[in-house]
Amino acid sequence: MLALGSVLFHFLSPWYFTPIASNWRTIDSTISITFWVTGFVFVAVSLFTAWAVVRYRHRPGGRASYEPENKKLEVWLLVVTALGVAAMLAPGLVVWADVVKVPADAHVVEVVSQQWNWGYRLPGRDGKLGTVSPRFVTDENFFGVNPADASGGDDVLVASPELHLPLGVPVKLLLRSKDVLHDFAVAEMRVKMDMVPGLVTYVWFTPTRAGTFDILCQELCGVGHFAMRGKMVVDEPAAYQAWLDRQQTFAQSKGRARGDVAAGQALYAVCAACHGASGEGNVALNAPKLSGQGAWYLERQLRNFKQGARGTHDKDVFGKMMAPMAATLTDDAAMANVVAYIASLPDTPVPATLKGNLASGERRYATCAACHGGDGGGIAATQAPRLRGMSDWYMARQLKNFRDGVRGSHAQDLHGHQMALVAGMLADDAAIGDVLAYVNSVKPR
Amino acid sequence: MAAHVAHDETEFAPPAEVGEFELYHPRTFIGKYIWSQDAKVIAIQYALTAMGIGLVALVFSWLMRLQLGFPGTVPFIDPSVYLQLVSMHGMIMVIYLLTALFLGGFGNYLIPLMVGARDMVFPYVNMLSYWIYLLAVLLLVVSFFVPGGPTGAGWTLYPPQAILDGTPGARWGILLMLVSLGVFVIGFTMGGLNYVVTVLQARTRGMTMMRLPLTVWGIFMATILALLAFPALFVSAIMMFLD
Repeated sequence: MLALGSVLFHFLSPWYFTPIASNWRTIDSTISITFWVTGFVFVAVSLFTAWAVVRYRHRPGGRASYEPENKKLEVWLLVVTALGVAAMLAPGLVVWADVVKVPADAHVVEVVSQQWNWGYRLPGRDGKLGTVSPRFVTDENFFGVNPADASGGDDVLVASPELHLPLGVPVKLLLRSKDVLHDFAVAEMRVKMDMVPGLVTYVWFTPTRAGTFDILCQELCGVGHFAMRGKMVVDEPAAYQAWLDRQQTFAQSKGRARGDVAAGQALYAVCAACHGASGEGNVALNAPKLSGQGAWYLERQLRNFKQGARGTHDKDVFGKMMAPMAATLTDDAAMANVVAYIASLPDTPVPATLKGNLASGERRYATCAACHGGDGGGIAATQAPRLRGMSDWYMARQLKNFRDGVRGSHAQDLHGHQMALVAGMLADDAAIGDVLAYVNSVKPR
Repeated sequence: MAAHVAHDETEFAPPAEVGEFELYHPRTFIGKYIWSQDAKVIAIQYALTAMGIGLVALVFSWLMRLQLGFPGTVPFIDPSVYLQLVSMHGMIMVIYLLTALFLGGFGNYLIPLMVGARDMVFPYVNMLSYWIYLLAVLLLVVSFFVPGGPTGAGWTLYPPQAILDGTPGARWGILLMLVSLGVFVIGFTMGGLNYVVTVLQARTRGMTMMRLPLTVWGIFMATILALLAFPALFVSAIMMFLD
């Protein structure tokens, strides 16, 4: 019954491997062979046990014969067991030989992990990745690319959890970690490899199906481990090229042209009505402080509002008010100009409006600090905005919005999605108050 | 009718290497059941302690599954507490329950019976082994109640994760965990040497290694593996403690 039930369950169960989307069908075959071998042995042993129970049942006067050794039987069992074990192990060795042997024409992508972010670097036109070193890692240089290395200038940097890959092209992933152990895993690709600080590990595969697949960290990497998610988008070649062309190179990220402050001042006149002439914010009008916030963050949010990734949820009352305002900024240059003007405004701290338990807030903030920095100053490399000295009432509302799915639920708001997961850690409004009270109390480092 | 002897080997079995000797005979309740040097009593002490702390780990696993099945239903399980439950569950199950129950419990109870020894070869060390194990368990339990709670770095406790700010129990919890682990290894080594030497040296007449029951072979091999592995764990625990 047990054997029959197990076999039926195996074939009828809806829980099996997720449909494969890469060349690693041999990995699935290896596991299937293991299932067949172990399944056969399991059924055979079960049937033998059932037969023995019936055949050697108690009979009056029956005696067991003592036969401690039987060389013939032992040799026979040894050979059959060895064959079974070899049948399970040998295919794995063959597949492993393929796993470690990367095709020479594989397209190289470097994956860099850090609590709880993914970043990707692709070689530029020279086909070569520039050298990296922890010495060069800064808020602006997430990957630690060596500025003096000429081959690093054209490296394409993807500061987003979303990685695009071309369909049907072998890809070799070079895996690095900047802090603790992480693990890059995409179930559909049958790809899973640890990322160890100080080592560069690798894995390769050929995507065989276009689509979007989840990238998960599968090595416990701290409290925010569950929020360390990314996306792998497998594109047709033309779509891939279009995506690649939109990405910034290392040289471009360094030499990024600043916006025109004078032009931005004219555009800011509309913003000033709510956010204040100095960008100091206005609680009565539900407009947060802007001055002192990272330009990269303001630009991203303006883009999100403009593209509908933010401010479209029914319950996001104030976000819906901001969306048409962002739409008045006609292009990227206009956004850069207005952000440049905001960056020129005096960064006057705003008074705290929230109170909470500082000890509880400090304990909770340890998780936030991984991305936002120990002093809440914000870190561009981890895509986390400044918190310290900003409008606490606004942050409280946004945390609630994130937690309740009002913000961060749009498919294009990848960073918002991660923040929504993390905000779920703040179970109630008191917890939010505690964290923000602590943020109000920290001093810049 | 003469008694049936299934397999009489008195003609060729070599004489016992260890002669008959008088065993320690406790006379008081404390001597018999608390500070006992009797392998069977020590086995029961090991088994009861292991199952006691194992029950705690079982409750942890219920709480983990409650959170997975009905997220947020149990108010005190936030992500930090969840990781602490996972870490403590894993650590207790593998080290403090399974190792202690299968080797300390079954090993002490079954080895002398199955190899035909009158007791373990080092009864006093055997007794110390249990009490040191109990100390390790108590240190682990203490870590539940220190500021910050027990470590939540996962049951592999790997650095630098275990000692980073933001990891639950990154201060007191991990320290107590490491001390407890070190103490456990000391206690286990005392017990492990006993199992190995008893199996190798105290078998009865005619009990060759190839005639040992598979249970004893299992305990014997597992003990050898543990004796080889635990010193590395011990050194790692000390080094991370110093970090």
